[in-house]
Amino acid sequence: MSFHWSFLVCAGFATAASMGLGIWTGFVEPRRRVRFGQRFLRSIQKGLKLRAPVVESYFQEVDALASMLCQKCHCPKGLVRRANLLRRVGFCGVSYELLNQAPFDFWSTRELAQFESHLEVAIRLSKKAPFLAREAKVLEWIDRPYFLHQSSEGVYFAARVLRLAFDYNLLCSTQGLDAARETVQAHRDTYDPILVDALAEVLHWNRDVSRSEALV
Amino acid sequence: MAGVGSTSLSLGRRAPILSTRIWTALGFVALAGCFFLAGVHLESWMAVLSCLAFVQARRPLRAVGIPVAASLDTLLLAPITVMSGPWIPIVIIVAAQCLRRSASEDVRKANILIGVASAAFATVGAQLVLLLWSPHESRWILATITAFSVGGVINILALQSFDRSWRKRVLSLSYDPWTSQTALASVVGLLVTSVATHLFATGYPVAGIGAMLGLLPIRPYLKAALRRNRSRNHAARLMSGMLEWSHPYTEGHVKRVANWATEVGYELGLPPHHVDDLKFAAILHDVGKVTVNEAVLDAPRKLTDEEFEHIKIHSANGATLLADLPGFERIQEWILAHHERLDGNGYPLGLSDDAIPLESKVIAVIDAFDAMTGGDKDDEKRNYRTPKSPEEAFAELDRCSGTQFDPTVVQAFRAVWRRS
Repeated sequence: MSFHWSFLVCAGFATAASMGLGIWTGFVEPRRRVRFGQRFLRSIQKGLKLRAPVVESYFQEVDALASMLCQKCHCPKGLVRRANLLRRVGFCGVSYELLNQAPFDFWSTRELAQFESHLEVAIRLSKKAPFLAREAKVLEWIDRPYFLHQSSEGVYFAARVLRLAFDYNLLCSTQGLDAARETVQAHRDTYDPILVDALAEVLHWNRDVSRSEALV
Repeated sequence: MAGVGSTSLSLGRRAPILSTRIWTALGFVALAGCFFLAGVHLESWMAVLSCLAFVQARRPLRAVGIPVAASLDTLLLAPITVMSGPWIPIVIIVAAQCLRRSASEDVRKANILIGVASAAFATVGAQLVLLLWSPHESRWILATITAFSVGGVINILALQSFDRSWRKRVLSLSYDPWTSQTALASVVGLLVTSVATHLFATGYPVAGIGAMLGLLPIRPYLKAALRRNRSRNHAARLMSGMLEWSHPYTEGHVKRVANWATEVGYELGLPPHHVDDLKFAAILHDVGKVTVNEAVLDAPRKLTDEEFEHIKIHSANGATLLADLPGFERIQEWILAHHERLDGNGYPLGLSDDAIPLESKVIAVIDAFDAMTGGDKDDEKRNYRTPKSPEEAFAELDRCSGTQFDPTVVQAFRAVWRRS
């Protein structure tokens, strides 16, 4: 075998093997893991749709509002969306009958408390999946008030966005639009003033008449 | 020789993979530079290969709870075996095993035994090829491939000769060369080392070093593959956790069914990665129950037809839940069919004998057995009936063999039960 020939063989082989496997592991792998996480969360969403279709549609509203807030604040909405999907895991801890019962505004305080316990269940269960560690951290930070932790880092910001979107939707369902708006404004420092302002802009609080007035 | 599958990967703390890769590549380049400047001798190259093989044998990849295991020492030892005989590989294997802190005494002894036998047979095979093919130019490539293959076969045969439960418990490994990842890594690695050996033996050592660069991505590739398996494992744990939360009875039930299914899978002669999938399917066979009303599932009475219809959706819903998840494709088919009967009276599709996957039949038998007997604790018994003794449950399984359950599976389960 001549030197040139063998050199070509080994160089070609080494390049092909390094490129193929290197690209496969170095570049494709992280994306594959994120894709796996996303597909897993979509499966969970499918499960919730089958278990409690009404609550799922409510969560889609939260998703939509959170996306609008993210867009307004120029923050990536992927993490927020994935964390909100992971939150659905907690509904296995809420009774089937409650989830498929009357809408939120007819729930008693006890039932509402049971419903809200889903977050705790989701946090505990999400510890079983380290590949969703970032999303789990968002859930852990949801209940912490802004004035205590003012970090603008992705995870904490995502937690605040989710909290505001979720609470606002729940308040709208249980207390009505005006009361929800007032409550959110009254707790600006708890939710994050920047986000509350963004919510006001997104929902045109300052310009338009409220939907309830319009309905009247 | 310790074999691609001789050891196994603990990823407790994530290593900075990228920087490790860069440093390894730089090390290779520096090595090639030194060789180029100082002149390459076969002995110095063998010394380098030996060091690399020693490091690999000391740091094997091990998948916790997953029967995919890999170590690159075989690939690195194959050229040494071809060029210098069995002694250097034997010394490396013994030294690496003696210095392994995490391994127990039994594991070390077993690995040394297997490694020495593999190295000896690999040398014989390689020397025979060199003798028979002596005038042929490709003899080095063929000899390396032979050394690797013979070593691998001896490795597998030696592992198979151990009692399976002992192998699983003490060695905590199961060699599985047929998963796509280990097969690809073995083939690419073997071709690379063969070409490199050829180049070294025919006097082109620098080109040989270049060829060996092809080995660099193999370890990260296997690591990534194992990490993917871990993600799948975690996803299954989370889903199973959801089920346990909504229906606490299932916790013990799922574990028992998974344990027995694994044993029965081995008893039926399924390959390890297949048994691993079967275990996942058993863990998740009732995952569709998260979509079912707990009040109906836990009702301490006979269910009405309507309630029974509601419960029957769980197998289809479980399959729907897993439908889009990578790595769960086969499993969801098995879950879908785990309430089918041989006579076609099962649900949801009404499949009959041949159309029902074997894995679904295994889960069906063990699921029924566990439903009849319940666990050891009181809260693990079904609410709506008194539990049966194992003998009564087996009598029931026998009675339904051929109509509801597969007789072969029932027999395998009985054999496993007796042994336990």
